[in-house]
Amino acid sequence: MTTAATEQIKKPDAPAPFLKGVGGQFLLGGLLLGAVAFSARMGFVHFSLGEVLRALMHGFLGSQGLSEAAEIARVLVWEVRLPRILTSAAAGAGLALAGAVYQNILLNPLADPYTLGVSSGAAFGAAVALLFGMGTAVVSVPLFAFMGALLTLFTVIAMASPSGRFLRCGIDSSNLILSGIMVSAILSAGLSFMKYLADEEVSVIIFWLMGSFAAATWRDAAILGGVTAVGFLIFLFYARDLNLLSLGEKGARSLGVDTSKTVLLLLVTASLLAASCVAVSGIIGFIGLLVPHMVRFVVGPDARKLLPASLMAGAILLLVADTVTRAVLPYEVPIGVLTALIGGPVFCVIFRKSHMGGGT
Amino acid sequence: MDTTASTLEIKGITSRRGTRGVLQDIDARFEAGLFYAILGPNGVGKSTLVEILAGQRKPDAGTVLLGGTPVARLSPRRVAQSVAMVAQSHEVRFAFSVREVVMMGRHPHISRFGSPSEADHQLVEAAMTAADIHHLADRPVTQVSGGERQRTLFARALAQDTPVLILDEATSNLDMRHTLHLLSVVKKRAARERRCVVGVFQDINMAALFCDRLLFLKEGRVAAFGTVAETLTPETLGQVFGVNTRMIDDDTSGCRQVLFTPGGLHA
Repeated sequence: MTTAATEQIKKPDAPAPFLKGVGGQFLLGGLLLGAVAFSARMGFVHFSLGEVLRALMHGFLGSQGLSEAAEIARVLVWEVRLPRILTSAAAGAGLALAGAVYQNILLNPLADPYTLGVSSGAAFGAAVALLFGMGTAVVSVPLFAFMGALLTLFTVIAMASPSGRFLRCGIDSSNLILSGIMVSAILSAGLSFMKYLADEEVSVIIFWLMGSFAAATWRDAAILGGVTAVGFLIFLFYARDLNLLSLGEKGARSLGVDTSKTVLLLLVTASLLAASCVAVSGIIGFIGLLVPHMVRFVVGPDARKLLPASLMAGAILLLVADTVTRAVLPYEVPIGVLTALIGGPVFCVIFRKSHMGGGT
Repeated sequence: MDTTASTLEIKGITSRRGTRGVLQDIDARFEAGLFYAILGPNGVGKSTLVEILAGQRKPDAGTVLLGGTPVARLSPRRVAQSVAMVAQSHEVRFAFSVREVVMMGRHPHISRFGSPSEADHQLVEAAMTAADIHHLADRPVTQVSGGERQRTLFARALAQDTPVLILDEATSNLDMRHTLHLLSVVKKRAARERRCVVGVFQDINMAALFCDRLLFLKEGRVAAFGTVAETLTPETLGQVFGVNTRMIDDDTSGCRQVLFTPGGLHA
């Protein structure tokens, strides 16, 4: 086939090949670094880029013999802003990765931790842990969140699949979203009931549910970053299988993918990612839905490019959103509220388009 | 290609699961070098049978032997190196290019972190030529027509380059020219390279034109299994489908073809 003929076929509005290849990944990486540096400058006290870099250096090397101004910069950038920045970036990355994997496996462009009810399940689980006084242990909130997320995921999938089979690919979009909404509704009623029961301790649950990175510590950043990194490596290991799974379970199986094992492992990992994000930051919607969509539009559906690009784009998006609530808006709006306000309308557009055009 | 794995044998296959038909105690042997057709009325379990043959579905009882080894004991990857399948459904929801989808057929032959070799690329190009989709190679598979998509998945199975090929109504959406061409390619591959091909057909005449053996299913059992001359008779068709037919032996193609009479149900 001559190049002239292929060029004729190519759609004029197709994204430039540069962005589809390695160039796009490097661009995103650069943007992410830029967003981190930029966010570190912003806030109650503004710093220049040089001050931020010096503060980072001091943070790495220790703070002996600093001038007072440099010490303030170090504390603000290294101990206050950076944990928050890294935690929000890791949460964005984790949610976007989880969304990309859900969408690929369930063959459904509308699947994400939020629409599937997984986030609500995680929140419910975490609230149970908080309510029954298990919140003191570092492990119990994430653990309960994870169990809540998994239970919800499998309930929603079982409800939505036509044959009632436990794990099934290619579930109808509207069935899946409807089941997600129903289960979410039940869970949020359960949450309200728990708030009612919690009486005096209600503020703990409410504060946590609203979701915020304001209290993020280096430990949060390390845990969430670690979970996201492990999840990313697992997804990347199965990237080619994920590509085949996007042709449907049977197609993937006939090409040598051990589908039941792989699907289970990937769904559990994605839910672990989503639950960790919820455990640290409360419910944050729509990142997992929108980011893989936008990324797929630019780099194409190949998981080997989609996953790293989603990771970086998700990190950038949530980091920027968090910086906006922290440093730009006059009052700090809960981050979940902000992403829902922006993401909701975009979700409507995608839903409309996927009905008219049949998917992405 | 590993030719030792090009015979399939099923023993005592029983399947009660699923809504689409029930199979009872089916035995059959599919030899290398031959093209088999599976025929029967709707809902008799033809698709179930070929899915079991391809190792994609577990029967409730019985075994499938691939070159003498039970399929259940092989890893999905090992099965995929020996058996390719063109399934009935050909929906693809994500915008992979046609060439990327065909390249997926090489997946079981490429190690996890390996990349396609020159030979892999050549097999993909050859498969795309056979399926006449070369001009679509860089188009997103979500944007081509249903027939073109089916040809893409057909090409993917050809690129998989397996000793056994299973077709589940793989030409249902194709026009006459592409149907004839692809089935000819498959038949040639079976005869020359000693591969085994098993296809589910609705069109009896198409099966008679290309296949060496016909297997008729009725009410979950084998109603007839043998050469076209032995099995393609008005009696078999009357018994299996409940239709009235006449046969002609076409001198040009050397094949038997069926002429149907209007009516059929309750005739």
